[in-house]
Order: sequence, then structure tokens, then C-alpha cells
Amino acid sequence: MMNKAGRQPGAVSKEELASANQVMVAMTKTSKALRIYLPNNPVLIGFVAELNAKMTAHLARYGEFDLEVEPFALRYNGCDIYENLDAKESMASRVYADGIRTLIFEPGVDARELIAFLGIVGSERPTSDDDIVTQLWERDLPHVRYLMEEDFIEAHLEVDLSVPGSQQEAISRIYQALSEQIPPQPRMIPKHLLMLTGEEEKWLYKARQVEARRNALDDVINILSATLAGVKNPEIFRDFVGIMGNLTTNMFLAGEIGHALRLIRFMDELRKLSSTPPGRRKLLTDAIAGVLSESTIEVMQETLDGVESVSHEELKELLLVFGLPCLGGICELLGRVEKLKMRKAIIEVLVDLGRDNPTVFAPFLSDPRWYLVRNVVLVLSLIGSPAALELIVRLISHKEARIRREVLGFLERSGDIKAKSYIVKYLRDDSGTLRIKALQVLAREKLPFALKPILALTTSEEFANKDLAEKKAVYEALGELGSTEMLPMFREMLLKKYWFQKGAEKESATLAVAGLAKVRGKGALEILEEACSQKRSVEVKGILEQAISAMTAAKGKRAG
Amino acid sequence: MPLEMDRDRLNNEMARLGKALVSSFFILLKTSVNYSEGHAALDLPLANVLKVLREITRRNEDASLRLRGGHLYLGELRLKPDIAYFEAPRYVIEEMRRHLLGRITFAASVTGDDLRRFVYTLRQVDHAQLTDVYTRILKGMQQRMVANVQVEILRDEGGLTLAPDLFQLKEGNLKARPLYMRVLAAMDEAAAQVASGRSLRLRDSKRVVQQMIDLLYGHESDLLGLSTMRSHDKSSQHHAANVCILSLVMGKRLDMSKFQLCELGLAALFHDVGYTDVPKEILEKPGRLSQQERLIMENHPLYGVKKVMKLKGLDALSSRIITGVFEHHLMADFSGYPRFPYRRLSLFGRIISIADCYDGLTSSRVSGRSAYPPHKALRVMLGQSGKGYDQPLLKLFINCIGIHAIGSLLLLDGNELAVVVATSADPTQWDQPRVRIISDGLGREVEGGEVVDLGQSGCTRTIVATLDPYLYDLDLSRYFYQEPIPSLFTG
Repeated sequence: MMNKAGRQPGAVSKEELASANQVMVAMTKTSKALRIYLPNNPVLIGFVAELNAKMTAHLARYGEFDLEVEPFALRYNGCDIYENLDAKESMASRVYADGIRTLIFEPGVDARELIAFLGIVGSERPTSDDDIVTQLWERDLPHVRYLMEEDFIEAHLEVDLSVPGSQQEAISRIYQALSEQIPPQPRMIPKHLLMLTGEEEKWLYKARQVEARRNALDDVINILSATLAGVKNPEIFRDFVGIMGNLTTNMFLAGEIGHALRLIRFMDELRKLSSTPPGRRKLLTDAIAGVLSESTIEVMQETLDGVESVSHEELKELLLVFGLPCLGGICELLGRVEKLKMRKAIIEVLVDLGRDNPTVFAPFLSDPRWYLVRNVVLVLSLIGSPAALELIVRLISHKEARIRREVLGFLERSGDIKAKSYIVKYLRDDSGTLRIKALQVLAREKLPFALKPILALTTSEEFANKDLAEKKAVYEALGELGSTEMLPMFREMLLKKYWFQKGAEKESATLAVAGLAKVRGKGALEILEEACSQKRSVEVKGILEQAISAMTAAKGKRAG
Repeated sequence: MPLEMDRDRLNNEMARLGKALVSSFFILLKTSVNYSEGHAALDLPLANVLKVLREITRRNEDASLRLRGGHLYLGELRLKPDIAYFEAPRYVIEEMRRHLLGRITFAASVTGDDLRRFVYTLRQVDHAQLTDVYTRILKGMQQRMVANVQVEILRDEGGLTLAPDLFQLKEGNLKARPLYMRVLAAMDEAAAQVASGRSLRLRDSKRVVQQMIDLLYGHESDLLGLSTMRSHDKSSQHHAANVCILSLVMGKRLDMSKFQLCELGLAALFHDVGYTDVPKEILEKPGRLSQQERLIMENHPLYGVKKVMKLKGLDALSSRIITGVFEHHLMADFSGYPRFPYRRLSLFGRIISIADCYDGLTSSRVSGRSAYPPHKALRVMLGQSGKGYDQPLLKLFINCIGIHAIGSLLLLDGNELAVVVATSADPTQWDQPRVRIISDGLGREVEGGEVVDLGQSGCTRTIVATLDPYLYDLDLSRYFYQEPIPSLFTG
């Protein structure tokens, strides 16, 4: 049997076989290198150049470079030039498994084609639908061809097929019918009616151009939308709602927010139509709600924190469509997104959603995720209504300090005196930072109702154990709130005699000075001067003199 | 980057010159058919060919026309035909094939006289002597002292020289029929997947469609011949395969790329996948359908969309399939179904619609109606031209299958029966197809009957009538695949 070059198998010269071997070695090296190195790596570039040179030289001298594919080997004219018994690694086994039995490299093959070829046969297939044959076909390598197993087997079988049975009977029936009546001459369609005019050729050309530019995904979306808009069968409607919901989710997961928004927008418009029956409306609402899942939120967060692929307005629109059924998801999203602009949009949406009925947020206030609760508090604080306040103040005693801080922040910002009154509760908070903040807020806001509770603090058992910063804040608040009413107390603190209790004397002086600094009027200065003249302790005198000097300067500044 | 741009510019320039060479050579060949060697009518065509050749050689490029794999090449550059330019390459390809010419190389110093003598060498060769066509050409060129033109023989992959019929058979027939069977098998497998609730997998179908596309370039008639295969069983996949073939032929004529053709082929193959959800009793009902039953049938595009949407991931390919599945009954004027607010009919949808209708009309699939012969089916469709079907596309379709469509049964003036197996080699001879004689003038079946080109000059046979093969239960598909005569092997 002759092979392609008209030679007996094995009848190949030593030089030719050596050349083929060199090509194969270069191919193997390059294949491995493709998996390890980046395209611009000099080692890979060198291997590719070597392979190209060897292949070109071989083809120039011997014509085609044909390889017979065996399960683990590649043969050149009957001689093994490649073998690898590891099914996972072996190029031959991959190619064989896909049904290829001969590989043909023709003159003119260039480096690009060789790299493309090795990239396909040398690596693991990404998906089961992209087999080697499909990939080679799609890459359209003009100088790399292959023959499949079926090309050989079926060709052989076809030649062996016996002649099908005679149709003489049918033919005789035809002649019988013809003898009774010859059918009329066929009415031929005039040729000119079938020739394409110039306009029609242009139409076809344009149709092809338009087709090439079509966005296939847009077409699918249009089809789904048209189906939902037009179908009467309820089962089909339900199926397609499910399909659209799934597609929307997949669009999100793929980062295609624009397309996802389009689908959501359509479902929203459809459910708002007065002609849409309640049953269908519910299906659409459920489908929309089903889109905002854990995985979708994760991807959305990445998209929103990444390069701007969705605008502030688009995000708001999208979230408003998700609406109340997806409140938890939107809150979750708020907890994850970091970009300020996007956070702002989400917060605005949540405020819009909860404005009329803040109690929709109630279930989330007991969520174990503190960041979610904090975000909800933020939203409620922006709503600011009495109903929102009622929900917020429930969290004054929340175990998470960050939430209590958020609530305190709201109370601070609130203009409602009722809200302010809750700040007093923070005087007993577990967190010293929050207690201090509350004192500062109460003092700054000059809330008269806070004086008594703050005063009570100074006489409480635990007050002595508080740190100096907090004690100072207490006395500053007393000075701010009580003003001249506190002067006698501060005087007593300054003039009290401490026998061998230098620390206590100093602290007492410090606290009194802090309080006096907040009292307006000359009474405070007089008390300081009086105490300064009486005190013997250098440290205490120093504190007093500093306070006097500061007060005098402040007074002078005010006068100036 | 500049180097690439220069190369691209050169390639574009050479593509243009290649097209010009094929066009002018086509005109020269055609003119030579109608005029004698010394006639003045040849002067202009000769001058035009020379002009193009000079342009090519001036650029130090290879002025050779090469035929390989069903494509024409100028040197190493493949020349792609397009809609307005398929006649010329097709004719030139057929001429080269008929004369077993794999390559024609024109030297830089070629003259008008060289070209004239070469062309008339081709005219002179007697095509009936299949065994020595090429040898006769070489001898003829020598005798006529054709200088500056060199030819090479047309080779198959095995490097053996083959006679035209055997070449055709080896390349086309031996691949076409098994491929068709593989298409049916792939679709049977897909139907089984869908019926058992599993997701569709496209892998096997993609592969067979790709192979069909490869076969399309050079063996279009063989594939079209396969599309005459019919089954009366509605659950068979013949219809899917046939619509696929017919759609691919149209797509190729529209010069779609291979990738577009693959998408089109798969969309056509799966266009009726939704029928798996139509109850069998409705699908196989012999008589007319009730209104309710009709409504269910008309839902099959939607069922099909559902099936394809279950594929793993939505990509360009599955999206195109969905479009074809949904649109194939819409009609160009949207008078079809589903009747939804949808007004964006794709080219794929339009093509598949035509192919689907033609195959449907020419088979007995539609309940309550027997199959139409091809000419009647075309008449019915032409009645909808410009309405249900786009006129340009319908014309293109008829161009592809011929006025006497491939698979038509003809009565010739010598009382012979013949089957149309290919359109004429000459695209202007639409009404004169190539036919295989299946019975002689006395009504006797002919085994391995000859293939006659009714459009060829010198052919005296004419068509008397077009017959309906289904009335007589005649299987036409077998006439496309007659066994080769082994003694034609050379080499």
C-alpha cells in the first residue's frame, strides 16, 4: 500500500526521519513551554522560532509533514517519533481520543498556526463542549489539516455497501401513468423573475452586514420580553418568568449590570401594567426578588466598588425595582459596598423605601450581623420620623457598641427634644467612650434635664473608679449645664483640705477647674484666685494659675 | 504595527487583483465557448486578463491560480467569493476541476497569444475521455506551443491523481452520506437528552455541522442531494438535517463566514426541538388539527426556546439558536406565529423559515397533505414572495437549488426518466440542470446511469415534463450515490 508521498511505509531516508524527529522534539518543547511561560517570555519565543525553522525546512525539503495518530504515539511514515504513555500529558492520546487519526502540516504553515495548534492540543480542554476538533475547526488553520476516524471507516464501509434494491416497479408505475396521460409542460418561472436585481443584491448585502452586527444577547432579551408580553398560556408565562429571572441573575453574576437592569426594568413595567392579572404580578415580583441572592450581592458589590459600570441613577432605579421584598438584600449590599457614591445611592433608596413605614426595617434590627443593624440605624436616622425614632431607641441597650454609637449619633443629630432625652441613658453605658460622648453632647446642647442625672453621677459609688477623662467630662458638663449654680460646689472642691492626699487634692482641683472653665461670669475667676491664694501645693497652685491665666485671656478675647 | 499594516494593505490589494483575475479569466473562458479561436471578440477579454496579470507580476507576486479544497487561491492567498461575485469563481473552479487542473501559473512574460492558445487547448480536450484529460491538455499545450503558462495536476490528499467522477465521489459522496447519518444520530441523541429531561448538549451536533460546512465548499450538490432524503415518520430527524443543509447552502451563498455558518447550521438543526414537548397524539394526528391542537402545535417555538435556555450558560451560539428556534415560523411580514409584539426578524430566522417551508412542503410531514414535488413547492413559496418570504432571499434559495430543484424527477424528450442531481455548471443555465438518467426510453431502470449536463452545448436532450416522485413511491436519494467504477483509478 502506498502512502501519501507514493512511498512504501518505512521507506523513508535517515535524513528525512531525523528531520521529522527534530520537528517533533521542537514541537514537544514548545508545547510544554506554552503551558509554563507567558507569551513574551524569551525562552518560549526562542522555542517557537526553532520549531518554525525546523518545520519550514522539513516542509521545503520533503513536502507535507504528516503524522499518524496512535493512542499514545505519533508516527511519521510508520516510524514512532513521539510517545507518551501518560494519558493526561500525552498530546497523542488527547488527539486520538477526539477521533483524529492523521495530522497534516502543509507548506506555508507559520509560527502563528503552530502556536495555535499546540495551544489546542497541548492543554486541558476548558469545557467538555470545546473538543480539539471543534477548536481546530474554529481556529481555521489553513495549513494544518486532519483526518478523522470516521473518514476512514465510513469511506471503507460506503464502498462495501451493496446496491440498493431495484425500483423498476415504481418506474413502471410512472410509465403506466404517462401512457394514460402525459403531464403538461411545466410552467417555467421566467428566468428574469428569478435573477437578483441590483437592489436585491444590495438588500442581501445589507442584511448580512446587519446580521453580523446583531447582539445575540439583545435578541434573546427581546424574545423573552415579547413572550412575556404576549403569551396567554399561564404555564408558559410562568416558565418564561422563571427563565427571565434566571437570566437576570446570570447577568448580574457575569457583571452585565446593564443587561440585568434592562431585564429587571421590563419585569417591573410589566407587573405595573393595569392589564397584568394579580397572579402574574406576583410571579414577576417573586422573580425579581429572587434575583437578589447572596451570590448576586457579592458580585454586585465587586462591580459597584470597581470601575464605574453603573451610574448612581441606574443603581437607584435597580434597587427601587427590587423594592421592599428585597429589603434585606439591599441592606446587605449596603453593608458590603465601600464606594461612597454607591453607598449614598443605596442609602437614598432605603430611605425612600422606608419613609412611609419605617417598621419594615424592624425585623432587621435584631439581625446578628452588627454592620447590617448599624446600616439600618443609619437609614432610620435619615428618615427621622417619630416612628423611626421609636425603632432606633430600642437599640440604646444593644450589646454591640458600634450600634449603640450609631444610635447616639442619630440622637445627637436629631432635632427632636424627645430624641435628645434618650441621650441621658448613655450616662450608664458600658462603654466609657460612649459615656463621655453623651456627656459632651448633653453639655453642648445645654439640655437642662441632664443636669440632675449628671450630678447624681458624682455621688455614685462607681464614680471614684472612673478615669480622669470621664470625670473631667462630667464636671465640664456640670459647669456647662449648671453654670453659676455649680460655683459653690466647685469652691468647696478647691478649698477642701486634704491631709496627705496629694493625689486626691490634685484630682479634685483638676475637676473643679474643668468645671469652672465652662462657667461664664466673674464668679469662676474669683473662686480660682481665692483657691490659688490659699493652696500650698505647688502642683495645685500651678493648675490654678494656669486656669486663671486661661480664663483671663479668654475674657480679654471676649472683650476685644 | 506598521509592518502588519503594510502586510494587510498588500493582502487587500492582492485580494482585489485576484478577484479581478478570476473575473476576467471567467469572461475569457466563456467567450471562448461561443467564438472561434481567431475571433476579434476575444481581444478585449484577453487584454483584460493580461492587464491584471501585469499588475500582479509588477508587485513581484505569484501570478498563479490554484484550486485547493474547493477554493481558489492567487498564489497563497485564498480568494473569497461574495454574493455579487460567485458566478466567476464557480465557473473557473468547475473548469479547472473538469480539466484536472490544480494550478495555472502565468509567467511574467505571458502574452495574449499564449493565453489564447492555452484557453483553446482546454476547449479542444474531449471531456468524455476521463482517463487522460490532463495528459491531453499537456500535449495540446505542447502542440500549440503555449509558452509562459504552466499547469499542475489537481491532487487529492493522497497525492494520487483521480478521474473527475471518482474524485467527486471520493471527496463528496464517500463523505456526504455517512455524514448525513451522523447528523441524524446526533439529533436522535439530542432528542433523547431532551425527552429525558436532561439539558441539551451541543458537542456532537456542533461537530457534524462543522463537517457539513467543510463539505459544503466543493460538494454543495452532494449535500443538497442528501436533503432529498425523507422519512414519513414525524419523529425522525431528517427534517432537521434537511433544513440545516438548505440553510447552510443559502448561508454560504451569502458569503457568511464559517463561524456564522456554524451558528446558522445549529440554529437550523434545532429549529424544531420544541416539538419534543408537543404531545405525540397531536404530533402524529393523521387528520386536521382542532383549533386547540393547533394552538398547542404553534407553541413549539416557545417550547424550543425553553429547551435551549437550559443549556449551560448563554453565549453567542446558544443565543443564535434561540433566535432561529423562535423566529422560524414568524414569516417575513410577521403573519406567522408566535403572535407576540416582536418585530425584529433576523437573517437566520428568515433563512430557516424558507428552508423549513420548502422541506415541509416537499415531505409528507404536514398532516392532511401529501408531499409536493419540488417545482410545486417553489411555486407555492413564490406565491408568498415579498410577503411571507423576502423576495431576494427566496430568489437566492431558488438560485441554490435550481429552477428544477435538486431532487426533481424529469421526463426527457427521449422518454427517459432523469433525476436532477446538480444545478448546471453554468449559472446562467438555470433551467438546464445536471441530471442522472434513471430509466431508458423503453422504461427500463438504468443502473449507474450517466450524469448529463442539459445546459452543456452539444446536449440535445430537453425536458418534457416534471413529475411527482411521491405519487409513485420512488426513492430519489439513492441516485446521488452511485458506486465508482474502480478502473478509473490512475496513479
